[in-house]
Amino acid sequence: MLTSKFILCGRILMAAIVVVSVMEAVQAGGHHATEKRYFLRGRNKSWHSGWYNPAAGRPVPLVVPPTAEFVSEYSWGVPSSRVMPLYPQYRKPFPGPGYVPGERRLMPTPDQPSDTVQFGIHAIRGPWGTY
Amino acid sequence: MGVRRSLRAVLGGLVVSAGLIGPAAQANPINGGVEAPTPDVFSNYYHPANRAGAYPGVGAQLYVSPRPVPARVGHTWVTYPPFMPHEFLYQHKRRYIRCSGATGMRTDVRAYWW
Repeated sequence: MLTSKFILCGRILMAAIVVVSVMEAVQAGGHHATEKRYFLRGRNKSWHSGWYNPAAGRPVPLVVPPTAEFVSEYSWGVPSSRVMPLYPQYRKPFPGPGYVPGERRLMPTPDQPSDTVQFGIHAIRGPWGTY
Repeated sequence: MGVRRSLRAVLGGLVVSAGLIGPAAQANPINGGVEAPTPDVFSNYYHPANRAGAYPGVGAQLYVSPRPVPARVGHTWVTYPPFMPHEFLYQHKRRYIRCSGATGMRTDVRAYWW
């Protein structure tokens, strides 16, 4: 009787180990891996494009939840839409200068826009926490 | 004899109070089981200015204030970080732990956003 209980406990323990290892393998880093990938790929990328919003005089950031992963952009012609990874995210600390000059000047929204990017409003993910 | 006993009592009291005050002076908040620096009420969230190809780069900040200004300039700050608007952007929870003074007790706050 004691032996059968011992065997039962052993089997339960083995099953728990198998379940935990399978869950870890399925997750494979999961949330943290995605965050790291997004951070590394978005490090030196700009959050805006070559167009600015004429009403604001500069590109306008649109705050979206940090859980957002992709952004949709629409345009005339083919392709008429594209889904882009949303790398930029607000962080600390203060990164330094707020303007870096380029070879060309930012363009205002044309009179007949052909792409949503030309409106100069771009999404930036909000920060994860208070730190 | 009486003087020696009172001296011993005073020394013992000093040791006990140092043991209670010492950890409180180094109290740090714990975020998800990981100790983190005390959140700065004067801080903001930023995105650096990176060039968009041949076009210039413009930086962005999450809140209008506070801006990084000299100390002599007036500041605006958030006194209760859990109420900052960006916390309500997604469902999450956090635990704030603070040592409450020299009593050796601590304040444990569980915040939920949903």
